[in-house]
Amino acid sequence: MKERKTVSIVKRVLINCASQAQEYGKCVAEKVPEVGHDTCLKEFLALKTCMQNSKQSLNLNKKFTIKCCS
Amino acid sequence: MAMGRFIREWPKSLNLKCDRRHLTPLSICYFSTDIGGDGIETPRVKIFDRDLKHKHRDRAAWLMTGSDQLLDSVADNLLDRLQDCKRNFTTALSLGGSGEAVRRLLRGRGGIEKLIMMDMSYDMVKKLKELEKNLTDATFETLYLVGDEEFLPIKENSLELVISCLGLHWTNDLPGAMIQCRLALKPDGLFLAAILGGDTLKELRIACTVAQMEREGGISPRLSPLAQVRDAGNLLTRAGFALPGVDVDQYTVRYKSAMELVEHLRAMGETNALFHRNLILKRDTALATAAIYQSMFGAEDGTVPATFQVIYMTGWKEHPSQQKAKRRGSATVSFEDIQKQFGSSNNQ
Repeated sequence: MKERKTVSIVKRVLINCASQAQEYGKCVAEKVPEVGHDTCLKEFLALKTCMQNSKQSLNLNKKFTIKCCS
Repeated sequence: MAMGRFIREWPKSLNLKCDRRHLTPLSICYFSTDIGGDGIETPRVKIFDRDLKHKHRDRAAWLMTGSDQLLDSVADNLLDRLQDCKRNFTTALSLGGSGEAVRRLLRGRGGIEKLIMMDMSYDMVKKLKELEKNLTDATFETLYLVGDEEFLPIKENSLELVISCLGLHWTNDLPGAMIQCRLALKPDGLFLAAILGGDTLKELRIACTVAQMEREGGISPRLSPLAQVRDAGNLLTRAGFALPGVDVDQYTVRYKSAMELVEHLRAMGETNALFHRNLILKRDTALATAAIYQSMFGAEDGTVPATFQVIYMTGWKEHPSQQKAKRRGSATVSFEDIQKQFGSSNNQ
């Protein structure tokens, strides 16, 4: 079963870009329940740029598969 | 008459076996886990993708290492109910879910001599067989079976106990699965099940919805529909069990981050298998969900909680020895007489 690396990537982004993630989370939490499309776009873009900056250490291009039982 | 003519025009592919007087087109298209007890056999509605669930359980088998605290507590709690019964159950069936925890924590409760372990995934059954040698105090003989909970391959009136620990909430037809369990039981046989209830993972549900609204502008179901506590009693009576008993337990598990929760769900084989799921999870949305989960529900020390509501159901197959409610009108003493005897000063 092909396992995408989303979990480990998101984990590392949340650690490396903790402050941006926190800002974004705070922004959304304040706006709940009136959250619409791109309500917190600014904060999210800050988080995304932080993620792309640390792309080197995250190795986003590699894929891997889970080896099945033998 | 007019109704009769209309019924004949329905497409033959629906293959209905039901009382036609009550049926309207709406009930055919009704897409939900509704269990209205009107005695109609509804056509097979596919909510969960069973093939995908099969693959999830294969993966859960590969990822299985040691014991899982949550599954162990649920299994232990379920097996405690065996101690409340004085009799011994010689033949038992364990249906899917966390069968490994059930077998390991059995510890002789219920006097089981022959335990059949059934799971829909061949890899899981193989793993269970491998783990059999780790059991030091096994007093019973184990048999392994690969089968589907919705098509139970067990002869009628052959089991004394059916246990399902967190296995039945992925069936498309839960009442049907329970009915088949009842048929497999001998008279005075016990059915014990633990399923996840409606409150489970409500934090994740909220975080997913909010994140999707913010990032994508729309929402898609990311969590499966789960039974409510009030439905559990109906489920048991609809399946025909006598002396039904339902109780609820809420477990709050703390994780270091939202992604640990996802990994745990994968290890348990509880990830999304809805037919109507969105096949794409954009990395942005996943990131947003994790960040929102952390900010909305995170504790001071950075850990996040997740709720698991477990509904425990017990039901017995009918037997003449079981107590039944007395017939209406058969009372021989009235409350007035009792009050006269004990005096009205009690005021109760």
